[in-house]
Amino acid sequence: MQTFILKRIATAIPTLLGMSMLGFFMVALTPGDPVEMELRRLGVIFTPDQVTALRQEYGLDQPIFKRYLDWLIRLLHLDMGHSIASGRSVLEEFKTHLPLTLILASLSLSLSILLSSLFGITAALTRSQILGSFVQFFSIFLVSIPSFWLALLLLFIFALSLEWISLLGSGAWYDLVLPVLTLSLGSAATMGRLIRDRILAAMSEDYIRLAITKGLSPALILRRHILKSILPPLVTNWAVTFGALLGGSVIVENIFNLPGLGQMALQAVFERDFSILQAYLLFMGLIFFVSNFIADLLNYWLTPHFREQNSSQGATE
Amino acid sequence: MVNSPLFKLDHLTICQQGTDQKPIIDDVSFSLAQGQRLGLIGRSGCGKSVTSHAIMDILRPPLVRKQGEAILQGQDLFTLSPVEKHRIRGRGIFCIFQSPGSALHPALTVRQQMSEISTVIDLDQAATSDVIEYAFDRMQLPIRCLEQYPHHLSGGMKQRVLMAMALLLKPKFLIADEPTTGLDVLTEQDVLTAMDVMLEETQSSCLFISHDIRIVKRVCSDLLVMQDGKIVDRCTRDELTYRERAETTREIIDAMKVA
Repeated sequence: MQTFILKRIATAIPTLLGMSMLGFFMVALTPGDPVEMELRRLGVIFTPDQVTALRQEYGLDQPIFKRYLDWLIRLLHLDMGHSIASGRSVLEEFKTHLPLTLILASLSLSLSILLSSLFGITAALTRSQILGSFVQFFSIFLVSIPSFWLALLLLFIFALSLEWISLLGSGAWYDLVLPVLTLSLGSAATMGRLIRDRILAAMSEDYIRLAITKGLSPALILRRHILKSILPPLVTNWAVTFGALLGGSVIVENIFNLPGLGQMALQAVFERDFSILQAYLLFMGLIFFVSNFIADLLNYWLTPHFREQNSSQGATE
Repeated sequence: MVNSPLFKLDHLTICQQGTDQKPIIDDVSFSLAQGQRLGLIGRSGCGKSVTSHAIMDILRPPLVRKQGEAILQGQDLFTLSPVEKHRIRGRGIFCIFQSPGSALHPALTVRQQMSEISTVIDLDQAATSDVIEYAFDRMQLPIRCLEQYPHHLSGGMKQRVLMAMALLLKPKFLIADEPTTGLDVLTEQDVLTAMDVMLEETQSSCLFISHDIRIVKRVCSDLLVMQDGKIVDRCTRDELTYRERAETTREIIDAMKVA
């Protein structure tokens, strides 16, 4: 176990370094000067000298590689610079905006898992053609519609037609209902199909057939044998989905006007707020990395047969 | 046979769904007396395993049963409700599959897979634990195997774990589908000995499926020969050598002589 974790962390270092470079250079090399944007936003008439002075202050006059290294070193001290727009530190901005997005993504993931398990298991176990095609139709439908369109559709139904929810939001918990639905329906559909297909595939495995032959109750076979064999790919899928949900929050938060990380990021794009953007990109990469890492750990624990093959331990006989 | 058979398969026909091709299993009938060991022999792909899957009612799609009855002690297995089916599996009818490598769940320990049988045979955990240890002793399996995962065990050991399961379940009718395929000759002997011990104790009637006439002759008193989904010959073990046999049977015997 320890060697597995150490190995994973060792291989993570180049990955993380690569992600930090990508995040930094992508933002730094895009056209548009943050200083000019800033001055223009303030509405001041500026002289070239002032621009140069400000650029110096932000360190933008340095060669780009030196800026990257400085940024990296400061990053290790959790200092990601300041937001040009608000003047607050990037860390503080994250502290303000992150919780809402985390809640949104976690709720959406939970709802996706719940809905997909329900549909996937029912569709697989009943083997009902009607339910199967229903799930298939819905999953294709939900996968192929973009989330902004689904968001608008939900707003149209629940806020405009039924008037159950205020279009502007009221600051209460139920503001999250539609965003969570928007985020989870699409992923629930994909996951539901995955669960259905995996269960059906597992049912023809010899060891599940042995469990059936033994006379075990269907509930026990599902809970123990089938679940244990389909869980690893699901865990990986959930990890990837969680990252995607955090990323997907950019669209949803902006449509539903939720002050989360996604809204912060989009605003930063408009304002060329490069320190926020660089930190955001790095953070998204980090989330994907961490959730995959957790998924790998869980799978390591769930699959004893692969675990020991990897640690080159021979069979006892 | 004086008394009525324990198990009787009547006119089993299996087809591939959606095609008009000739049946995979074509009107197969046989019966098994209490305690009888019947061998089903034939080339690979002739439909032996499909027959066993059909009896267990776990055919893989697109295979479907077109007709047939499988009467175990007066009950037609094919017409049972799903609940009745799962009740009769295990204690009424059990099957040891080909390829022990994939027959045990890779992510459950051997003990987990043995002790869940307690739900089928209505024993509490402690009593089950005793029975498991007894069964392992009879199958000459080391007790430490219980805490291991299947990939720790050799092919012969996995096969004997399946036999130990049969020892716990004491099924009235046991199907052994090529239990020694893929094992070396010495391991094969171990497994066959274990099977003798197990059958002796469970008193199960056994349908023994194999492509190897040498093994079938050792295990079974009576033989069925299958070709292209049909039973083409029936005889006792002793009749094999001198009676005029069907062509397939002779081919199988000849193949063994060469080997």
